[in-house]
Amino acid sequence: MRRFQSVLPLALHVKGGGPLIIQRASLFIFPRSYVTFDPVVGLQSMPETQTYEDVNDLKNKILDEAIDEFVPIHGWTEESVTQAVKKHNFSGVAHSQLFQKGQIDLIQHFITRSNQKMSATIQLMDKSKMLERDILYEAIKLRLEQVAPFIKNGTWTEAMSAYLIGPRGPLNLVNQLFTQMTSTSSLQHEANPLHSKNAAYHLAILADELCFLINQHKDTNINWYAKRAAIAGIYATTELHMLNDKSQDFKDTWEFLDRRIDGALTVKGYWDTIGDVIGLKH
Amino acid sequence: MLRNKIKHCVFHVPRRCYSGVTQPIDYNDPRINKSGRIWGWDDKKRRLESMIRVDQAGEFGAVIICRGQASVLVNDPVISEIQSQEENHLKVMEELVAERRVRPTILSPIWNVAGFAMGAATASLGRPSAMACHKAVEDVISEHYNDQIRDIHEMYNEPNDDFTSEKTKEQEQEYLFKTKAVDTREEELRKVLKQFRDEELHHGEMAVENEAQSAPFYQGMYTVIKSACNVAIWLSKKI
Repeated sequence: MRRFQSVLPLALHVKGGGPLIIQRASLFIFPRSYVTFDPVVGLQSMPETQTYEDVNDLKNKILDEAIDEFVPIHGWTEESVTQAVKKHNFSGVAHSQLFQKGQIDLIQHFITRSNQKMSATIQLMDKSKMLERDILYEAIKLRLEQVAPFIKNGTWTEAMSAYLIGPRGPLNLVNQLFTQMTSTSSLQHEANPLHSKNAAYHLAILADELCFLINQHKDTNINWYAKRAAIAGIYATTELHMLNDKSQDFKDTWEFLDRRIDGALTVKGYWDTIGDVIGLKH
Repeated sequence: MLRNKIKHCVFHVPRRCYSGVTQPIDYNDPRINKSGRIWGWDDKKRRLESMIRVDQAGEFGAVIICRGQASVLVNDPVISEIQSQEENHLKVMEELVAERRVRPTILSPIWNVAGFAMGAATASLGRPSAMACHKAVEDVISEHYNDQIRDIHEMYNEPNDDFTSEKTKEQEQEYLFKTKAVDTREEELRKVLKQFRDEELHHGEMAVENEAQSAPFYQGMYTVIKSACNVAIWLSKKI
């Protein structure tokens, strides 16, 4: 029973409220203020009940639907999350409780999902005849190809700005800071102007995974940081280049990526010699 | 289906934290109870990562100190014995870092320079001083290993541990399966830590046998080096 406890208040937001026993039991367990549905209205219409094992699974499912169905229509906004939540027969209250950061949650989910997909496909690939740089090229290409449809739409810039600066834009910075310092509600997350910290964190995770895929993750010295920084730099510059790329199937971008990787390799040679001289390596 | 084929992929489990980066607590998380924070899978992982990071840094520092002393006191049998054992420890710790994908400390260049300087400086004051330096360092390290062993024990025998949801337990099992670490209670790591602790204590005894306490300003040097090592440990845990 304990494992369902955290899910119960969510189940209450389902229209109809589920079977009567659960309603009574949850009224007993939870304080009155937590219940936001009208039991009389709920009893009048009794649709089939939905139970969910884990909140995180449910969240992922909703966000997946939001990206696949509603983002092409509404863009990377809170509106598409709301629509996806409504599709699952939840009320607006459930929406604000499930996704406190709304838009940011949506973008983050997309990023982790595409990282997953990229990592899985590269790991299952036959890499016996590939060089390290080719694996890196393929991996970054695969990762960027998942963003490509949204860049063609022209909606990805919106997502990037929301993710880097915050949903309300840089002009509202003072207001955002004030809201963040004073409010205790979900607005606190929404109005955070320092989302770039979050973006840097996800870039670091991506760089870490790429290093693992090319089997360069075993350093124990400062090279660990150098490699990840170089790869993160390659990825970030290529993504920025991709935003303004108008060529067929992003041909320019892939050439650009190739050149960046070559450049990084020459820099790596310099770095090795410098490290030998200073004694940074051990 | 696809998930079972993949050996080792960090993204299969919801990663709320990355080694060294603190994230705000998400109170929608089902693992967090009204009574307080429950030991989650991520918390354990983060703490173990921090432990391995600081151990690797410590062993690296010990090896560097030995090198610094060996550069002044050439062919000293005691120092060369200690150095060979410390290099063995370092090798094991580096393997652990690579296996668990732990972020190594960013301060390793500083420890490199500072450790060598400390070793060379103490050795140039004479052989007893070098031994006193060893005594101080090994005392700190063995205490630190003891703390870690105790921490791991607490982590896995916490009364709240029974309340972790089955979902997180499944995730933990899956992670352990993927990383080929079959041992759920970290018995192997505990064994390694215990062995290293004993060897460090043995080094301390060896230093005392070789007239560590007859060094000039023994007490002052002992406390200064000990506090410096504590600061280094505190820093390596975090960054």
